[in-house]
Amino acid sequence: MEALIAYLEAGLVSGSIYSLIAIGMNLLLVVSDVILFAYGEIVVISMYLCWLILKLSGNYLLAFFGALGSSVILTLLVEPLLRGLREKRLVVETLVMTIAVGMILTEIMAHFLNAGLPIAFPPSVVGGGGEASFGLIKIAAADVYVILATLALLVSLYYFLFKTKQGKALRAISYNIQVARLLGIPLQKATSISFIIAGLMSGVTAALFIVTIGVASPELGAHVTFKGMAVMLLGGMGSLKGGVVGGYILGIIECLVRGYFIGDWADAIAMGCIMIIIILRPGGIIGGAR
Amino acid sequence: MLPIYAENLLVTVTVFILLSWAFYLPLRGGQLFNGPVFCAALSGYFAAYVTKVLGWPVPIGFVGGVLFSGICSFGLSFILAPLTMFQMAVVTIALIFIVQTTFRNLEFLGGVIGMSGIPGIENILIVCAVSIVVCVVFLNRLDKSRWGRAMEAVERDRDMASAMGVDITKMSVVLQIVSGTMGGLAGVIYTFNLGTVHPEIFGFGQLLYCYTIVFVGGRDTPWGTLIFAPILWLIPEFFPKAIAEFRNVVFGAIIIIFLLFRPKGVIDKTLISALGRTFRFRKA
Amino acid sequence: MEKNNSFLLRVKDLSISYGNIIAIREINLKVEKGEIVTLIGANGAGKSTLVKGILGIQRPSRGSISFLGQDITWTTVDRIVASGIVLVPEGRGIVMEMTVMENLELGAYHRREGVLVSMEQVFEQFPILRERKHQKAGLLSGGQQQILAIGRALMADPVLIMMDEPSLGLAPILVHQVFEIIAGLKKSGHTILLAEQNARKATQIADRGYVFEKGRIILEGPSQDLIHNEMVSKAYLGG
Repeated sequence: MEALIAYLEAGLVSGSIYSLIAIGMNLLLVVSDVILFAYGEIVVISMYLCWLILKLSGNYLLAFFGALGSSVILTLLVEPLLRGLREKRLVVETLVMTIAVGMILTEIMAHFLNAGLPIAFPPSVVGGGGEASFGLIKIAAADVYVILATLALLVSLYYFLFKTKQGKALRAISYNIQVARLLGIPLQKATSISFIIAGLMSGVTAALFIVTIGVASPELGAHVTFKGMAVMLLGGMGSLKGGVVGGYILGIIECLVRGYFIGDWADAIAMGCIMIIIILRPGGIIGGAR
Repeated sequence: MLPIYAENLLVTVTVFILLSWAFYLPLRGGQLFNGPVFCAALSGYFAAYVTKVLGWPVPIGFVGGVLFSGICSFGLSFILAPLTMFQMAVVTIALIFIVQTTFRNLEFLGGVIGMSGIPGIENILIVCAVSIVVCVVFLNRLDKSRWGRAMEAVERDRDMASAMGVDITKMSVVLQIVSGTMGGLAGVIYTFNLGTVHPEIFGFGQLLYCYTIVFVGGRDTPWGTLIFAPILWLIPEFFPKAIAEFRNVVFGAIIIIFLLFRPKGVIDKTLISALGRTFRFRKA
Repeated sequence: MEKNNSFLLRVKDLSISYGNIIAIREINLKVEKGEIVTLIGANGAGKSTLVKGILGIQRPSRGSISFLGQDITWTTVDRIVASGIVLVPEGRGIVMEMTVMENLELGAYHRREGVLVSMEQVFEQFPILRERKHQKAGLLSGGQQQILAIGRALMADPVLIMMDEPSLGLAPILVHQVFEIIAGLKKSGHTILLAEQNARKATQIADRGYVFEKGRIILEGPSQDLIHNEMVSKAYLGG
């Protein structure tokens, strides 16, 4: 029983992070019609940059903002690459373009950053500095940070989308882009805003990965992107609520599988479960805008 | 005969041509199907197991491997056919990963290390040449047939094609089976030539190559792949070691540049017909 | 006589094509402040295309459009709306998933102040919207949605209101209501460009009209003249 609670707790933590990833990706999809296959790679390369800054300067705050800044900048750099293809409505090409960007980022990490070796963050950072134990159940300070950060982000995002003019404009675009256009809502500006928000969210995600997992490797990028996509499919493509629900479901399934099964099977089984759900309910659990 | 080095190179190029064609085919029908990669793994492992462990003769292992991957794609196609393009892309990527993990955890297939000492094929170059010729003829005929036109219609606008009477599901199933089988063909050739097989043998690195070849070489016709795959593979061979590290970054960058400026790839239908016309003028 | 600066909108020799197909050609049109100008003609005659061209959604292939003395031929949609031209689109163009109030707020996207005042005014004029202000717009009836679309246009504090087939799909009693509203808008000083298939009602409330046929204007003039014109009468007004 205790073990179950421990697994559930871990699942909530990773689930929160997955939700953030899915929301970032879903936002880009509904506002800008882009599936950013490079999202996870941007998160991980921001982790690398944070590690570099930390190593060079020893300043935590600088490193944190460095991570945030780099993810925003990278996300914004990708946007103009996609503009031409989006206008011509070339869907496959857009997907492949983002895949290519992701692969380039992974290659950069594999060859030019820390000579391709995995990076590890110092123990003072990982775990957030402190943990509480209830028998088998260990709750690290980092876990609390994750939950708090996720809540804060979700609330801010909600406020932005539902209580501000620009946010409502973004929602209008996600529901009916033709009408939004007729109303004179500037689509390019909305796209840029969505990319900035996604960039910020990926930066925070990087920070959260740092305090929970504490290590990163070049392959992690594609892995994270892939999990993000799985959650998107699970919750319904483009559905922000679905992203939240799906994220937690994946997080919990993964932790349960890791806890109860031996071997390397965890990811494969989690993937398998998701595939089954997608096949049975192609619209995703919540179903969504698309 | 040819030095081993050259032989290996030709075989590898063949494998990539076949793999890329296996991608190219569903893409013509509007699908991003990553099946070739895990089908290659499936056929490779099958052939390796039956020839090394069960001692079956190589030709049977060869054909068996191809058939095995074909059957697997057939089985999977029922699940995959109704998916949207994005879902199909993601699920087939997941399958690459799942297949790798499965092989990694199955001890009787060698686990993490895989199997080695697999017998080779004599006259492997002839096998390669025959495979390529057969496939290119097949793809070319397909392009010009009714099927080819139907595929183009689906690629352009799925709903409209469906409204015009194209059976999308059936087409999807057929494309997957053929694609998977071609992937399987690539897989057995590669495995028998290499002599070993391991879980990571067919994975995302190959995916990147194939995407580059197809999206840069040409999405419209099979000739793009045929011409471009050797170029893509051979040119880096002539680079000094230092630059070799850059290879994947360069590939990624090339894909991006081409997508920006020439989304259909270097060699597309208009180019081919233009070449055809100039040659006809010359004859006359 | 007509002075240049009294024109709100002036369209000169405008042609718009969809690929190789010429949708409208050599359109000359003007709208003065405070009047209702109507475009009548059959479905596909080009009225909608012209309206979309003015808004900036369709790019012209030839000719020019000027608004308040400025050339807006190549201006982007968002700037055109910001400068005071709004469209009540064909089919209402309501965002179904958002509430009535949110839809109205979208209409005021380009305004910085006075939004609440405008919303009050809209609610005053259309109490049904106030009643349902927190409901999802998709739950409203067709007629209510049309009213919402008009209210949304008013939220922009517009200089020129363009309407594309406002009566389409509405029951006769609602059609009557909508046209009353449009006439009322003119009374409160608004300028309206109205594209309508219902030529009878349109010519009744309009000051002037242009008759479209196969992408060209074949007749123009004060609406009284159009009503009494024999050809127009037979073709569009039911004899």
